[in-house]
Amino acid sequence: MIGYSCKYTPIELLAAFGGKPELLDQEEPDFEVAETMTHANLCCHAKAMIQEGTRLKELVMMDCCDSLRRACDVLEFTGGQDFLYMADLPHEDNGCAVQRFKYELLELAKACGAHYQTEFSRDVFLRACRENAKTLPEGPFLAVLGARVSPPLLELIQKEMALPVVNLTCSGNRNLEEPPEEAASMDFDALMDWYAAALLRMTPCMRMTGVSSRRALIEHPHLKGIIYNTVKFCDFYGFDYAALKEQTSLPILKIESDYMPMPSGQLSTRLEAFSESFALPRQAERKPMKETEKKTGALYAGIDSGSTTTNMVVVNDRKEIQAWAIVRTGAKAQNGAKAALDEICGKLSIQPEDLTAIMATGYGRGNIPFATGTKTEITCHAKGAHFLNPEIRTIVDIGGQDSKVICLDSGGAVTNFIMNDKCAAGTGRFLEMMARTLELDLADMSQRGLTWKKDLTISSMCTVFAESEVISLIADNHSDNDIIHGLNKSIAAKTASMVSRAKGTAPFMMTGGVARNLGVVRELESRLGSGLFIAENPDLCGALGAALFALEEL
Amino acid sequence: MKPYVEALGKLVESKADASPEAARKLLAAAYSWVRFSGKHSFHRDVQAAYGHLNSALAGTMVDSLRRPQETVMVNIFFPCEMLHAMGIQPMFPEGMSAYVACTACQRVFAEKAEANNVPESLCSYHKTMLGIAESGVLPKPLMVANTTLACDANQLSFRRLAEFYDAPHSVIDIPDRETDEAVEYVAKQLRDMTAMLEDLCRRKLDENALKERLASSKRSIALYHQYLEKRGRVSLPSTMSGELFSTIALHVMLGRPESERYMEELLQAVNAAPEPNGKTRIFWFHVLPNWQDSMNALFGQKGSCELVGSDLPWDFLGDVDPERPFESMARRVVGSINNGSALRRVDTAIQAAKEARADGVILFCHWGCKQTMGLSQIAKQRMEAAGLPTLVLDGDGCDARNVADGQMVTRVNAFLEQLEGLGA
Repeated sequence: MIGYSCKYTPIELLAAFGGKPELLDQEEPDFEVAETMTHANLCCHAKAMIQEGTRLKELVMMDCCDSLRRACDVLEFTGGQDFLYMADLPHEDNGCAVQRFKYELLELAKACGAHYQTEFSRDVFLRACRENAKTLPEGPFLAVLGARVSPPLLELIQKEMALPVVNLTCSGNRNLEEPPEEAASMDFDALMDWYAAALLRMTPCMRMTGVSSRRALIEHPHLKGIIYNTVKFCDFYGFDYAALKEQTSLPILKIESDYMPMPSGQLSTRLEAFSESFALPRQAERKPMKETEKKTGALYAGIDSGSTTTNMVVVNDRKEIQAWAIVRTGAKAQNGAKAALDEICGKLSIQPEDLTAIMATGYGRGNIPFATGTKTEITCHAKGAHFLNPEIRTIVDIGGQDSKVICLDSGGAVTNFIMNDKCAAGTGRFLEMMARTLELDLADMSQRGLTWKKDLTISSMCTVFAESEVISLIADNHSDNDIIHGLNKSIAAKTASMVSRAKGTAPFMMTGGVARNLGVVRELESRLGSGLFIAENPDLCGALGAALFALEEL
Repeated sequence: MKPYVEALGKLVESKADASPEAARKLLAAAYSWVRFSGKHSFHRDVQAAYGHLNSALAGTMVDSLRRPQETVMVNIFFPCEMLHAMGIQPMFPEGMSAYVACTACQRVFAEKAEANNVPESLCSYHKTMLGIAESGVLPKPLMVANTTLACDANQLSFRRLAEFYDAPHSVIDIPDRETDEAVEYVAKQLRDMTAMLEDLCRRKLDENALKERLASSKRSIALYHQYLEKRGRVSLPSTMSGELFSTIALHVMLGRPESERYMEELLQAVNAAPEPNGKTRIFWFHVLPNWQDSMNALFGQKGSCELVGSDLPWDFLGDVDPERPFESMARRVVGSINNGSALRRVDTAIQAAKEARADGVILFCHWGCKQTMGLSQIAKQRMEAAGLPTLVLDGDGCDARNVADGQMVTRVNAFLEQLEGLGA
């Protein structure tokens, strides 16, 4: 097996010399080895490549990006491969660039011949060229675009979506054209002329200079939606995503992956919400709803299982709230859910069986045994917010472990949403950590940030670095109030940036526990240039939406 | 940072979003002052060289803000002699972003770029430049041009800038192997780019003027060689900004009289410098965070160590043939130590650090620079094997949000103590 990473790798040529090329796209359980050989902030695929590369004997790499260039340097430095070859790849696709690339192919052919001790096999080469031509489904499909996607992640996406999902990422859209009819009789030099040009004529990746033909990827008549993947510390596809959003009206979901096994909770939430947003049923099985007749006086519950609290709301068939509960989630989602259910039943003097339907939402929604259905918190927040104030067009939800911005249309349907990634900055957890550092409780934090004197700025985006910055400010005798104001500004800046990225417009609503923090609210209002609508119980919006779904979907 | 600079920075930040033209005028006025004060520097030592070069650099910033149609946006590795010969100013992300960082107003631009979906992990120089452009503070230039050397951000930012401004764009594709064919390939692209520029300016490039610019480049490089020969034997109050000026004088400003004058003054300063004064001698690898007060204090005149050099000026110090100007410019980028394998750059840095008689090396991993981060551990091993203790230091050349200042100071101090313990 000869490993490769880039779609421009001339794998047909490798095969023609007896090589067995295999695309390296595996995930790694951790990057312990790679991070001792390079830097933690290198592209995650490059780190995975380094680790896999140390286990392989044969590798061909292209000089296709800074991270893979350095991955090759690291492997070359540490040694261990029998055959490690770096080929230069032009950024252009014009005549001069084709000649340069052909020269690279001829050099690689010489190296392969020497390594395998074989001659070029034209039959194998032409067969490989024909086998590697890619076809798209004839019916409706979804595409994964952007940066390369690992097989387990692709599998998860395919499982969550109802339509066929095609991998058109940078390594997935290798659409080599078929060789010309006269290829069998061309001399080797002419054949390599064709091959170099054909490789450079494939749909370009974002590293190439001319990328306008990438538009073809989103113009296929059967394409119904896009899951856009970016890889942590790969910058290319963030740029493409920004441009693509302006070019298509197709539904798009942006996800970020890091070539390590994904914690499925947050990702599933996004994929499900995406599926819900354009009314595609998921392929994954759902629990059947309880077979109960809808009757007057019946009660419907929504339960929002969050990282910090589990919130529950019960409504009657006239959509009037009958009771609510907020309890600590604790270590297990199902224990928090049981505690919330017990509290609700106590308040209403009912038994759990008296609830006609229970819709679960939140990150723990899949682990609530008594729920009769599940929906993502994105859709539930939208439902709850629209019910509370139909004017709202953008929801800012800052919870314990994640923050979200959800955009709504006039009917309350989700038009766009974004969530923070694996980072606590700008979440309730960030405030909790800082409160601990300042030895204050969260209620104190809420008030004290309002009366500040010196306009301090916490510059670090990273929660851990921000904590050390706070410690330095404490050491410099800055007042708690000034420091808290700086922290509030930091959260507001991060959140306002998310609103801007989601293209959120006023009127705004804020939900989640952080909406109780007046200091953050004031800073965010100042950043957005608009007031925030905050319900009496801002934590309950998701649970309320879930309860309304329980009522409507029965 | 001085309180009046911080006040100016806050004012620019407050205007950047709602009134970008006002922010532009404030920055142009501030950099006009830098141009004026640098030109009339009262220093007589190496600081005079720094002041004069900074004045010329500030002039390019002012022109890019006030006379954008006489400016071409380029990356720092772009050979600019043809621009100088045609009286066109180069403007580059590293310069503009470092300037706004030193004006305490960088944050608003980085946040603007991120709000427009620019990845957080992108090089901060490029991200800031995009934010300055997309906020409306930086007006449309005559043209956008970049080489593919030596970072991927060039391909992304410059394409986006050209699209944002709807400005003509030229990309010079740099092969990673140094061959005569590669030089010809690049020289042809540089000629094509120049023809494009001639059409846009509606004036022809004077070949003799270009040859004179290349002759000036040759003299500047020769002067810098003389400076380097002496630098290892003396003590000089070099600064972080100073090392950046040397890099700029040997890149986008190369071929201009200000670059040649800078090299002459640098040589005079090194000729008049005393013998080493016992301070620990540090060689810096990659860009320098000259916006950061704590680092300036450690590596400034009053610090406990001396900055004896950096690797970026060594990018290409080879021969120049003024009679073959395009081939010479092409040779410079193809032969750059930043082109190709990591060891090419690392081994040159080892040679440079040894010539400067450095006691240790600080390898600065600037946020978003995959090339430097990627080679950091190889470089550390290789340098230490060559007898140069090395600190890999994470930081950011212009964005305070990616920096843990206290941790950086602790690491540098611990490294200096380590070197003292080793008898440096």
